[in-house]
Amino acid sequence: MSTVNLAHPKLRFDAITKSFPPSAKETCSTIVLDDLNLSLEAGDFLVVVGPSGSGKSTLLDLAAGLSAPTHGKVLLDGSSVSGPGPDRSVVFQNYALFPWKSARDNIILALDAAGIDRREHTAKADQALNLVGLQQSADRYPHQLSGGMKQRVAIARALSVEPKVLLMDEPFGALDAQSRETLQIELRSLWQRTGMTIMFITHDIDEALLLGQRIAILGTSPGRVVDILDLPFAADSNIDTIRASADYAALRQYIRASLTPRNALHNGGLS
Amino acid sequence: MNTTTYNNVSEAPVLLRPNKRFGIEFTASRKTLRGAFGISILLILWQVLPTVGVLDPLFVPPLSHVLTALAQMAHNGQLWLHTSSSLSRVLPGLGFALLVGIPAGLFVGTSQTLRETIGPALEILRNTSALALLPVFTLLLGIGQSSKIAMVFYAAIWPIFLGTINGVQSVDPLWIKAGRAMGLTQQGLFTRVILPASLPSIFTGIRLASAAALLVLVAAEMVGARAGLGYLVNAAQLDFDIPQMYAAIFVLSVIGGGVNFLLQRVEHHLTRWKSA
Ligand SMILES: Nc1ncnc2c1ncn2[C@@H]1O[C@H](COP(=O)(O)OP(=O)(O)O)[C@@H](O)[C@H]1O
Ligand SMILES: [Mg+2]
Repeated sequence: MSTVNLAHPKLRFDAITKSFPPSAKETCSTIVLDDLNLSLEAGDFLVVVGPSGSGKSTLLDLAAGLSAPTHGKVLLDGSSVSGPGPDRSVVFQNYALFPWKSARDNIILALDAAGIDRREHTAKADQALNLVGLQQSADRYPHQLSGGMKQRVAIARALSVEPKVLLMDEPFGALDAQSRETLQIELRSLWQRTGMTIMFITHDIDEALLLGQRIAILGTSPGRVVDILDLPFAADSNIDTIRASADYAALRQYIRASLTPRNALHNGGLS
Repeated sequence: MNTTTYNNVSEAPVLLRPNKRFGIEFTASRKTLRGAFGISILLILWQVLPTVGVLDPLFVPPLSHVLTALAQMAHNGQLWLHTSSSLSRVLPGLGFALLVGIPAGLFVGTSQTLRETIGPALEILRNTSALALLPVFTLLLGIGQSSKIAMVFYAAIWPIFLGTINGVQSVDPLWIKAGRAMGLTQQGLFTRVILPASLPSIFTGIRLASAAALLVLVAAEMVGARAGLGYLVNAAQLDFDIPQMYAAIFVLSVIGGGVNFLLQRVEHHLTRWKSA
């Protein structure tokens, strides 16, 4: 699936340190990410899993260009990221749709912001809605859509600008179990069809195992990559096959142990 | 609440809501009918109570007498004279308040430092009754047109200004984050995210402002004016022309209600995306 580019990874976090200046109550600044290295090849579906507060969103914001690292660099196709750009799209947990715009107009706004020719807006927006199965709901406003549909629109909006990398920050965290599973299946098939490079953030181990091709485990205080797992599941396998496989339970156990700081060292690797 | 939702759906292609169109019109007309029914009851009571003597017709003349007085004033040009002179004070005052209040509110709303600096001062000014300032305005600007316009302006600008600040402040940070992630520029964020997100609150401010403007206008006209509906109410009472007094009050109510209705329609149209 992935066409490995030997020259540059698609997205690379190069010795990233991120600290926030002390707030009024604190005396020293908080180091959220410490000397973190991570890369995604083109076509990768990398899931970053970590406990809440481990700096996952901070990491994603850095990739999106919404904030700058204190030390180190984020590299996209080998060049340093200095701000947001249409080559990266973000999907947030709470959809972040603009409620005063219809589904289609939400997408058109993103197309416009990305500098895409006005004449192509409608066609591209409808095409993106088609991709997530919402062509029927183009003229609906967000409050007329269910949570799952809203997140589909948000995904369509992110995909419409044809980004090089799709960044997703716990996108299914606010959904009910049913819609979450549907969207997980859809996202997996979307990735299989398009070969997108995806960085997906979650604190849900099952979600990480079902979706990812690789999993980066983030440890807390300060956040750093504790381990990276290459999952043994074939890229085209479906969620049920994955869940039923023998490796699944073992991997799940291993990740769980890794996320509990004390046990992480004693657990050995999973060979 | 339901009506709003249905109106929103009416934006969608017809295919999506095969049987809802009937629902909208049915509820809308039933709502209108009920409102009209309520108003009729009020008008009938106004006619009947003085006629049967529950209310003293000397102090509360029946509706028919008031309407006769109104027709007379319309005929001899009095009605238009007073109405137009009231409007010539309230419209410029309100207009200036919009022109100054909205941009100022947008500016102050986006800067936390500025907000914190002028916030307490604003609270004091806002709570200084425009009526208490009436002598001050008269002192500064005389008893002419400009002091009345200035008072209307003063009464109207605070709700608009504060409504706008409030709107800007309550923009969901996630929308800003999403806009930035899309690559919107600072200006794009302002016109395409902050402004539309603040509109509902700005409009609430405008409606409060128009009510405050009318209130202050009437008071100002009662105290020192030669024309205007406020003057007319007062002058008619002094002349003991009670039907004429009620006729002037009636016109003021109609103007106030009409303005509010119009603003509500515009507001409803601009914020039709809101669910509740
Ligand atoms: N703007 C900020 N200022 C100060 N501290 C922050 C800021 N953003 C995040 N943090 C801190 O960084 C840590 C990681 O936050 P975050 O990246 O949101 O974690 P996660 O998404 O993994 O739950 C938290 O302890 C949080 O308090
Ligand atoms: Mg987070």
